[in-house]
Amino acid sequence: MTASNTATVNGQPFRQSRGGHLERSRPLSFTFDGKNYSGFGGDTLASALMANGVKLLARSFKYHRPHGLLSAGSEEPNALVELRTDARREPNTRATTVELFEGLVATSQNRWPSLEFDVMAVNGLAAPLLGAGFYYKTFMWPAAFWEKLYEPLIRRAAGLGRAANAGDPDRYEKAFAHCDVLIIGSGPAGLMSALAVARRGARVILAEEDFALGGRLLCERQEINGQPAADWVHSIESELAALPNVTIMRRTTVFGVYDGGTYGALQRVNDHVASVPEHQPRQRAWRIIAKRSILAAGAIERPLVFGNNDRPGVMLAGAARTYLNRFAAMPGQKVVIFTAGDDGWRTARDAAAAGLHVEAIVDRRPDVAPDVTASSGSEARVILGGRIMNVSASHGVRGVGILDRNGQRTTISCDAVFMSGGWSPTVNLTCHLGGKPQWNEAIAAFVPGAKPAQMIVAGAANGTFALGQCLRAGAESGGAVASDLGLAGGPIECPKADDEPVAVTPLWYVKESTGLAFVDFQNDVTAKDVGLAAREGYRSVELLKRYTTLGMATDQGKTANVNGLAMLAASRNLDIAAVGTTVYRPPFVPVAIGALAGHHRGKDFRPTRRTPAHDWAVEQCGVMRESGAWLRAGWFPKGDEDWLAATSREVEATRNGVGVCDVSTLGKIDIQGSDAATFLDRVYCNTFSTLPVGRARYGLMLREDGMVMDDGTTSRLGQEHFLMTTTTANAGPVMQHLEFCHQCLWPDLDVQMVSVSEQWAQFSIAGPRAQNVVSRLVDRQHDVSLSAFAYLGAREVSLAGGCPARLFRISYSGELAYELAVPARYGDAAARAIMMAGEAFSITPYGTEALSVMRIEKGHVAGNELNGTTTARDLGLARMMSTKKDYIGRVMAGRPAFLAEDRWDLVGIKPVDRTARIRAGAHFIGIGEKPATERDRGYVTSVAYSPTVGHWIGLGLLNAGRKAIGSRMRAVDLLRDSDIEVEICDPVFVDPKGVRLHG
Amino acid sequence: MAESAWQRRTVLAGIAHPGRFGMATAHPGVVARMIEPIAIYSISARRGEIAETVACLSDNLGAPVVDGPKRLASGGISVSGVGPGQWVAIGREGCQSTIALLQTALTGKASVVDQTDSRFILELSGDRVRCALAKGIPVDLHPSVFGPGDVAQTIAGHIHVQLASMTEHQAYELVTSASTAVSLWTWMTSSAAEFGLEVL
Amino acid sequence: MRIPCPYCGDRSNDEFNVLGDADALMNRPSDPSLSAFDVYLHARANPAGHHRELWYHHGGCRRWLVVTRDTTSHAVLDVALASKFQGQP
Repeated sequence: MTASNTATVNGQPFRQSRGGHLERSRPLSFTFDGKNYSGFGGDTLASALMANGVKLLARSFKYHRPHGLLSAGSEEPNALVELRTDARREPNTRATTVELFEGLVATSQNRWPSLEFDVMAVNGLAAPLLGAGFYYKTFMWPAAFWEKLYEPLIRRAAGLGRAANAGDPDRYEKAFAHCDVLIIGSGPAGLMSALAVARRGARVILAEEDFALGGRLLCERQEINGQPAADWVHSIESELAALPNVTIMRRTTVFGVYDGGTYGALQRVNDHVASVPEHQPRQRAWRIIAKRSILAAGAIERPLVFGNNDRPGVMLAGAARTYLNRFAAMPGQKVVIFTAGDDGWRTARDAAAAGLHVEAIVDRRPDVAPDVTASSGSEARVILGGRIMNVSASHGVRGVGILDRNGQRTTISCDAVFMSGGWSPTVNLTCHLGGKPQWNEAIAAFVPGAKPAQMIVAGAANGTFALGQCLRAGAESGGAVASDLGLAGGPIECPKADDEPVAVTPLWYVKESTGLAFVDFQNDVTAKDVGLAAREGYRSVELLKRYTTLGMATDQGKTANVNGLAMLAASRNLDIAAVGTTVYRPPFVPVAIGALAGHHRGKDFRPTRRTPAHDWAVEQCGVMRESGAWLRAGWFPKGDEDWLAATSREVEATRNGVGVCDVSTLGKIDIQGSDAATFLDRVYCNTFSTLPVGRARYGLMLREDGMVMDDGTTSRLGQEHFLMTTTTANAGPVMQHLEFCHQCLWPDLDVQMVSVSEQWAQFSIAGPRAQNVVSRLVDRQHDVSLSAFAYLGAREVSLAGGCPARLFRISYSGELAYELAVPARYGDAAARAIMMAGEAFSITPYGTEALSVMRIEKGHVAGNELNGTTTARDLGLARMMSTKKDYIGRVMAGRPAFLAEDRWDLVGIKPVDRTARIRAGAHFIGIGEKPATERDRGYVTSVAYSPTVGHWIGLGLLNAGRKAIGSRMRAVDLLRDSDIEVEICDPVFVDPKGVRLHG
Repeated sequence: MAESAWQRRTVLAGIAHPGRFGMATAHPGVVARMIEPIAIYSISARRGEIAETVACLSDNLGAPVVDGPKRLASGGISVSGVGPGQWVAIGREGCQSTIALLQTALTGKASVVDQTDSRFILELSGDRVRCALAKGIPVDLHPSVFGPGDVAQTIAGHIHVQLASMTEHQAYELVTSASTAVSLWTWMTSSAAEFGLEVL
Repeated sequence: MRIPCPYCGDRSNDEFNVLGDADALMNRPSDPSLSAFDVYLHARANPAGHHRELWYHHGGCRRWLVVTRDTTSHAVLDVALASKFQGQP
């Protein structure tokens, strides 16, 4: 079919031969549902499809009704398509915002087997069953019905697009930007305000959702300063682009407003090209920090609610002007206009000017100003005080049924209906921090209420619709913000433009409608649904939303909300102001998770930390695993050993000879000052002021509520100099706690603390032959014999002829052991030197698994036991709590409940059947008792296969556990279906007298 | 520090190599240089000794050090404020004697802790360096706000960093802990790639 | 939310950890009784409006700050080093 008033342009039958803001010299080919089409540079997918005569673009969510274009912007509820293919497939993209590019592949969604013939469209016949609250009502039916019948049916029938089923191959980024003034939107108000602040030197970011600046100015046949509005846009754009203090961000949607002048914005850097250039992201999520912002986001036109108003060919009147004026695409041939205000008449004028046949203008108002009626410039039949009751259509519009003011019904044939229910200011961003829009009766729209601090709203977003007024509002807003920022300069000259008539008398619903009249197009919410919800008592607008799903689709009801709540108000005989509106929350448009993640995905999901001997561990075939942020060797398999075999071998080698483990990840805090010892006495429950220089001591730190916070050894390097170690996991929290104690409680103490975790690489050398290895490592002048350097010694030594090092005789494994610390740059060399020094003794590297096995064998507590719910007494460490001094946690550790006889105690457990495996997390239940919460006696915290004792062992917290030693319980794990009889025993399985560590 | 027979190992050994990376632009938008300082010290003023410490630092550097987030470089040593009464001194080749004098002079006024091996330092420059840094550094780096000598400790992509604007045009010193060097390097090279990166 | 750190300048709250009521937490009881510590740890006013809170600038200067904040708007009204309130410079 070829349009009658134009020749086919480049194979596009509905493209006008002239006009629009297109790059006609840049033809682009693309496909939709596998069929080839062509468009031009400057097209959206929507405008190009329209130019090609494609009217059917999608199926609706619930009833699978045929849908075409409703709008021309990001408010589009209907024309959702899948873009691209395979791993790059992106569902639910609005065809109205997709910038056309060469080779674009788009597919319709939510239909089967094809868009034209969709078997699920029979859902439409079931509309009475699928009405408001269907889901909730169905839940009340027999549960089996829901599970077996309804849910599978609904899941198949409803739904939007398909997510890609492979990882997104493209890159995404996050970035930060800072400015004095963020201007959101580049229509007349946005451009004028940008000019007003930029000329006075402010750092400006101008964010525009579209790929071109100008907003509605690109879509209207208006003049500014006597020249076409688009030319004026270009002149302002040139001036702004030349200013070094202005950043223009096209294709950038400001999607959220956050506290403190923080804004979220999504920049579609490379969505408009077929493939993302190398080293560039597809999208970039910006966090913009702005001292001030000017919201000039314009307004969104409201549909009218009448029978079959969702049929392809029924669209917003303003959108029709966009397609005609900006894209030179024809939304129809024979059109009827249905309007509640003056705006529809502009569409009539522009449609006639573009050569369309305007069959009729139906204005719901009986009286319309003569200058408005005269402006239509067409020979169209004018029906004042009339309304459209329904649209007859199959896939496209065939005609409309009209009721005039005298009750006469008329049918007019047409292929498109342009409707205008008035405009709603895009107030969304003003609501993100809790502002409530206010109803303005004069313009029949919600306008911004309380706004976020430092934001002002200008132009149509503020309810100022006429062009001349928008330009002035922009200039004034920009001037006010510049003055507020203390920038020198005065007001700028405002260009001349006419104020078009913008009167409107809203019509929320055509009561005489026949057929389904849609309020929310994307979620298939009809006028009847809203009425039903009101009748069923869902009287609050928030309840209406949830009951009917009005405004809950991906478009968040941009075109639907106001009509819906106005209908609710009408049904309750209330003013709209009394009913109010639902809350708008971020994001304004859907944002891909990939953009929010940016660089942080895959192996870069979060930063990892490497110890100085990382490469050495990798060379030793260490299996590197994440331990918090650290990468640590879990075990060092030989041949085809599994983790258990490798771990057991490492434990045996250490207990019978010597092993080495990288413990660089332990937190290390250098503490100095004349009050350092006093400070340590206050933060540890045991005493450090009595520790001699050159000695180390195990320390236990409590929280103020009496629970254990962390443990570690602290050494005294000098009279006023200590080195504290913390567990790997608590290095940061302990530092924060110590800073709290110092800065907030006792800033009068002379204490200086600094983390030296990164400065030192540290290795544990453990086992009966550890001393032989250490004596070979240290320079000759240092006597490290067992007698000269006793258990819990701490001293400085040198290695390899001068490398400074710190040597500690401390043991976690229970063996004779040392920890050797060297400056990090020598960590790698030290690991190799230790291996060489230990070669004669078959030194074996061991990982975190063997470390863990050996500490469980010794009954030493770790993170599993220091879990924030245990006291020193629970862990058998009550003797460490000094009674001679005050310290953090002392008072609350004495709470009666913490001293109760039946509180849990740390115990050891062994399976009665020595071949059985115990599971950490299993709960203690008495023999013969049914597992139940009220009979729960505690749980297993840590388990290990102990090669030393030859079976699985564990540690656990058991009520009155110490008294139960020698008895039997069950370790029950219902999740893993494990129920094992265990013996309760002392938590120390190996060398209970502690003979080994003395050598 | 006395010499040792052991081989030193830098944190990016085997990971960072000199050359051109990313977009093949005519001029690299970002130039990265790894700095190997000979000494890094944490300096924390003792109770009531902030003014004394400031005076001592200023005397020894021959330039006015302040108690604030500022970086001052003189005679191969830079001193950056990292907290009230706290600084990090970074010494480059040739400053051994000054460092030794400084340590002695600070005795009793401040605690001085050797951190020579704890940090990873990059110098970044180039026309597009701010654009690359903006992909992680949340601080406003516009020269009108963050000028030469300014220091910011902040978090870039979950990594704690210390960033200083150096006296040269659009040149920055980026300091992070040694253990996170590889992650920081990955982020930095990825962020700079579209502008063309040269590693010296 | 943005917090103007007295040392580092204006920063996002990402860089801070919050602990709670500054006036409560900074007044550790000298009376070693359970009731005094119960109040110290647990009794909180939770006002709707101005609130003095302790925030730790872990991503910056590692200072504890007393941040006066309007809990109804997240507006930050005043920020000072916590040590100042214990009589230290």
